[in-house]
Amino acid sequence: MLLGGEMLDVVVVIIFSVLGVLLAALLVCVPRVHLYTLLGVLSLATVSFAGDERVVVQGVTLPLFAGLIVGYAVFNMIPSILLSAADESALLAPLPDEQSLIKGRGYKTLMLSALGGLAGILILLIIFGFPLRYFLGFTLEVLSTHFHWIVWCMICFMLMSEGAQSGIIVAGGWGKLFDAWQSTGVGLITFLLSGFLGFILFYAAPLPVVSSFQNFVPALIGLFTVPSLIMSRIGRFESSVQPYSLDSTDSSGVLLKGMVTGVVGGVMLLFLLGVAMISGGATTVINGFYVPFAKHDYYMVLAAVSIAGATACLLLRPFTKVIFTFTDKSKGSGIPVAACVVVLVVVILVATGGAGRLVVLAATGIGLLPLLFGVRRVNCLGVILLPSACMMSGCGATVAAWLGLL
Amino acid sequence: MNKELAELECRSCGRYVGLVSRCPYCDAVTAVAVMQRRMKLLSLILVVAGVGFLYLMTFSRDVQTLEIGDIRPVMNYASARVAGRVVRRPYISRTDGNISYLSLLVDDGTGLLRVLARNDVAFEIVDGDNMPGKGDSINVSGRLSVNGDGAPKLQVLVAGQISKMVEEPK
Repeated sequence: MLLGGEMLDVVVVIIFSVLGVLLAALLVCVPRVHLYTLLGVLSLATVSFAGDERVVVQGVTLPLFAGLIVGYAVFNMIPSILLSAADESALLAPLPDEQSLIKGRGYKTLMLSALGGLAGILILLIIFGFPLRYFLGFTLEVLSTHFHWIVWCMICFMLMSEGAQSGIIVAGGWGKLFDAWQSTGVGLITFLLSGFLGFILFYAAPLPVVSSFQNFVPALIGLFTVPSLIMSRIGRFESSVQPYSLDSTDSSGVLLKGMVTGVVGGVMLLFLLGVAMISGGATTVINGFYVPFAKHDYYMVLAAVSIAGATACLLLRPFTKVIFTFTDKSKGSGIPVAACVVVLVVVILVATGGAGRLVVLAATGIGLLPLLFGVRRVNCLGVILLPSACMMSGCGATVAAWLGLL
Repeated sequence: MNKELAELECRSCGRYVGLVSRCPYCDAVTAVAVMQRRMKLLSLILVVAGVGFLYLMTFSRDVQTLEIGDIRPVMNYASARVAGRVVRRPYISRTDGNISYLSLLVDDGTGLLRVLARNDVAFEIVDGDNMPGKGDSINVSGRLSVNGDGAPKLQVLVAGQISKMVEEPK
């Protein structure tokens, strides 16, 4: 039987997990603002108000963050499936969810994706909540000496798969050579420029030292958020009418296929990048003020993930209805964009100061290149991939020294 | 004719072609394509210039000097410089005969900071003329690591980031 204090702990964990989910539901209503931007601001608030108060960090921040992450993963499916248009790279080959949206099956796709998410959480709990997790450490040890070449292969594949896209047949000579290299060249330039920016931020970030724990936030806002915002104002997209109902077609096969693919992909991500398991994602944001203490924390986070997953799935259907109504009423108005601009300005002003704004500007320029030239935006990930790959190969600091950053 | 409409016609054959970059009838480059090409080129130049100036700004900036007592968790990953005295004998860890890391404990009067150098960087420092000993005053820069355990660390990334300070005779 739980003692009084422990019972209170359990209640606090449940409350803050659910609160995290509700906060994530609000966040997805603000277009193009990523969860990690909010995590950065919340971390700053935690450090300012709680300081070294471990009880607050452990009992409040952890379940809140777990709820936010799970809630964002589930609720973000709504705008990404129902309100997004295929970008330039997917115009000729729309992804399955975009095909469903075009055919008016957006709602069904959404529900299938949510079921897949729930299954993913269940499998995650099986892997991490039972002795199976001991094999993960062993696998990590075996793979740790191979991460660098795996990342380089990934980068090569990403750049090489950026083929000629214009489809215009021109006479031979310089014109043909230029046409053939246009997409690949711009992809390469985007990757190298964002990689260079990444080196600057990794080794000599111009931001104030009190913003260092979120060095990359302005760059990511500039690379992904602001260009999307600009393009969404220039090119308006009208989605087809999506009935708020499910058809009777049996989709268990699709669900199983998606679940297996998702689990395999997710487990691979745990190992491949080398940063995901130990220091990637949200842990990068919180490790400045929190270090896992004991198994107590581990199981508490698993509990928070389970509670948040259940809450998010229960809220998905009614929340989707709210979003449907909201988007119908706000169609054509500048409300979402204005809200987004306000959030961005606040985040940049509060968190990173004037230097942060300069980084956002430079990164926005890079982020616009793929959209203007019709190449894939994934090349902007050079901001993390290039410095990471160099660091994993043991030459990161040497390259930074050559560049005069050290 | 409406100017906007005229821009949507092929400049060579005069047919309506819309917002395409090349005329599907005569293969001529359209007005839209010329404008797009200029915009793209301009944007590319501006981006390169923007990143270049950001680099110059970073390049010409001195690393901020901090007092150890002022280091806080939000400074995790910051590039910082610290000046202080080595208060313990430097610890050199070796694995299979090779130096795996060098650890120094520095005190600047406001607090204690662990300074770390790994592998080749540690070897270069130990093997070079700048290897500090107990009691030496040093000036060291690197990347701060402030984990939740409360003990900040400074990682030296290249050997040149650590230097002994010559004390003036009293």
